[in-house]
Amino acid sequence: MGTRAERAAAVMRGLTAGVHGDSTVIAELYTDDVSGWSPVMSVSSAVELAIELEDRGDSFSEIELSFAPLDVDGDAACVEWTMTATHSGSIVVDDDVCIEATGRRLTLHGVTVAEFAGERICSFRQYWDEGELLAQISAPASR
Amino acid sequence: MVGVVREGEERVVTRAGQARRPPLAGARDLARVLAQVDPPLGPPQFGDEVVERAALRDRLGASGGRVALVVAPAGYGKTTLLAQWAAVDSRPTAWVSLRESDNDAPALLSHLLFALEESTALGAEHYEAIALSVADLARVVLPRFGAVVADAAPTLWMLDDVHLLRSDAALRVLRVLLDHVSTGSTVVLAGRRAPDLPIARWRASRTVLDIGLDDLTMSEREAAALLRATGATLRPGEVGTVVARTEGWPAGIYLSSLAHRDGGDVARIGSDERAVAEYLLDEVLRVTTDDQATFLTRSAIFELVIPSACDAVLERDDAAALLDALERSNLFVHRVGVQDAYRYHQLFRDLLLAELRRRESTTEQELHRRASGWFESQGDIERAIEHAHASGERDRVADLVWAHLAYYIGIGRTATVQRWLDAFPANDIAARPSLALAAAWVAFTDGDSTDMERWAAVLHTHDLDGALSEGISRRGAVALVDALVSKDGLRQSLADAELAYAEHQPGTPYQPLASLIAGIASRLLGDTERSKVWCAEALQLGVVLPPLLAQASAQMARLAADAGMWADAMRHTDVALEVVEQYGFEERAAMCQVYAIAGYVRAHEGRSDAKDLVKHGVWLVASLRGVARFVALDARILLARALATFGELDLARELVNEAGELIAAYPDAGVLPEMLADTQARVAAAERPLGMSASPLTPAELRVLRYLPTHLSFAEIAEVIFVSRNTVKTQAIAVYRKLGVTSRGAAVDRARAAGLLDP
Repeated sequence: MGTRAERAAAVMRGLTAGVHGDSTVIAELYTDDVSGWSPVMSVSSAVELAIELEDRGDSFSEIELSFAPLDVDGDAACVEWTMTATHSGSIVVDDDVCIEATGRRLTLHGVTVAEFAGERICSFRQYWDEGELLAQISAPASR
Repeated sequence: MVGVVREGEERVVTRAGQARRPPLAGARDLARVLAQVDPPLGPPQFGDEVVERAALRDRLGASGGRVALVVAPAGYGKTTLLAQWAAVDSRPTAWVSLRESDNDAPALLSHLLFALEESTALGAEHYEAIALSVADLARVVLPRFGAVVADAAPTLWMLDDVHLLRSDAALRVLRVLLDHVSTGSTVVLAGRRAPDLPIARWRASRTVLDIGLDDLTMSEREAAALLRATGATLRPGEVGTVVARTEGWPAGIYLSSLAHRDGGDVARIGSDERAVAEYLLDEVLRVTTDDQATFLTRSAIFELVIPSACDAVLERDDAAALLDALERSNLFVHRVGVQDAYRYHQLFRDLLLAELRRRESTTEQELHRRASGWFESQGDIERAIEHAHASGERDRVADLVWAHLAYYIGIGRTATVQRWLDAFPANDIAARPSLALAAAWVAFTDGDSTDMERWAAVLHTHDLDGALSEGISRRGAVALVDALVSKDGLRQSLADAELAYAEHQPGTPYQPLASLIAGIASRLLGDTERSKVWCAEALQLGVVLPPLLAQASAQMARLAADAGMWADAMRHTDVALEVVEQYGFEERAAMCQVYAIAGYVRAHEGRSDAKDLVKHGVWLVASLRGVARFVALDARILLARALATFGELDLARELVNEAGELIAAYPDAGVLPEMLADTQARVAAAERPLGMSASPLTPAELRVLRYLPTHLSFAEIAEVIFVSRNTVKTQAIAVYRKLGVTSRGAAVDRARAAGLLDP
């Protein structure tokens, strides 16, 4: 098991990779059977997570991400984060609802709770306000 | 658009690259040619001199069984009984008068189909499905025929002279008919012997009604009716005498009546065929005019007596009137079908032929010679060859066989060619280059390398100077066989094929084949440009020869694929597969290359039919070893490569091993060893990756995999391949899992290492 700092760093790397659509770090950061949830996705394996990240990789550009570890203890870690980015690619907010790029600059606040098995994340939950996102984009959803 | 015909001609290709089907009417014409059926033959038409065998007829009609078996010697009225039943049964009748030539399955199938057509409206698709698939008997034709039979309205099938069917192929067709016959139908099998079918099993299940000798023997009452019908007025007691002398044999009773009518002694007619022969010779021919007797004996050379043929061969102009008169006055001359054609009772015909030989010992051969010429002029090659055989003109038979060999091989009637060859002793075949060539081609079609090499060796014992037939030199014809045998390797095969091309005049069917072989050999020698020229030539010349069109299109696809021009490759495989399917070449071993190339190209394109094509290619290539060994090698290597992409590694290894064995015994294999080594590496690589799932990628997953190296997002891939974004993601998840990776880049690397993607 890694140190508290290492676990916090793992969560932050995972978040960074997620917003950039970078799946190359998944094998290193997540267990094969990782389960995860966010307002826009639900996965039950590292492969599914990889596909979700790759699918959303071009949603944002000019990304700024800041973290504030709230609690890192035992096998769990909790990190608060703020992302500011440009909406430059389509965002899938529900199974079939896709919002095309608006070019708007937007800011999101959220919290990620992760559980570890050894040095890798085996479970995570990501909380952020989908309504806040939609309000900032201020664009009608298109099907 | 794909060019599949000569420049300037209409291109028979749709926008999507699918070759259109030719007009369906051609299928029916071809079926007629295959069946050698002159306008449909129905039941024989009898005059008044027959006895209604109502009891037997009603017994058959009331049986309700699926099969009725009517077995008795000649002259017991089997055909008459069947005709009487057909006349009163409310169901449509499919009447088939079987012939020796029906031992050829395609002929029998078409014959049955035409008979069914007499009672049931058949769409053109039935002819296309059955008549044009003659080469693919077991897998395609028989099931389709079974379906047609099963779908038919309740029908009374009358198969007369079923004892003539002896070949395994013909009996298979018969079994399919019996197994699939529709509910409410009855199949009546009539003949001198029961056919070799599981009759005991039918009897056990009580689905067969037997009518035999005892049933067909005439009672005194029936005999009296027959005698009355012929105009004979016997005194009391004489009917009993006749029945006793003839043992109730209807033909004997009838002859007795004629004897009585003509003032003869009814007691002379016995109960065996010898007695009938004596009677016929002494009495029947005696009461005809000399001219009629001569006409009867001479026209007996025909199995089917056609007035126009009689006029031409017997050098007269009144055959129609003569036959009409004879039919009216003689039980043994029957009109058949709707056209003016007749058959002589077989026994009567045998006796007439014997009489011809006795009266005019040298005339028979001359008549057969003339008949052969007349039938050839009418385009009826099978009858032309039969009469040439009967005339003893072996050189003419050899010439006819050679002249029409390509056509008969081309439409899958190898068995017919083999039957022609069987009439010659082996040393006679060896002594005639044209027959030895025919034997070599039959061996090639059957995949019999030993026989093919044997006949190739025989051919080299002949003087190869001079022409074999118009436009074909002996040297060229033998060179083509040598090119396929490829005993000395690829360079010699190329040289032989180029020689064969030069020695055949344009328009001969063998020139495009020489081009094709030269094209394949050039590619396997690493000379791609030369291969393109030869394959394009084969494609142009072979457009009128479906097997060559399919093969040449496949070779063009292979060249396009090797050049990375996958769209062109796809279009060529579309054409090749369409031709194979349309002309029923699915079971021809030589088509393994078409399936190998099509499967390989379509796998690359992620097409869902790729795996089935490859599997079929594997099945076909199993029967292709020594014959055209470079084709056998090329196909095995390509199939192994395609199988590796599907994760079918056991089968891929098996093919690689077989190819290794074949190459070891092949003296000059060009780039084949290099191709084999590359494929071996691909198969090995597919086995190596750690964590890779044992389950192969599906065609749909392979299709998505193909786009992973590109810059396209999942959404964009979905648009390209016309599926939803979620479908692409689901398939990508499966691909990652099977490859044991968690990123797109790693998936591409792993797939390349496994040979699933080109480097």
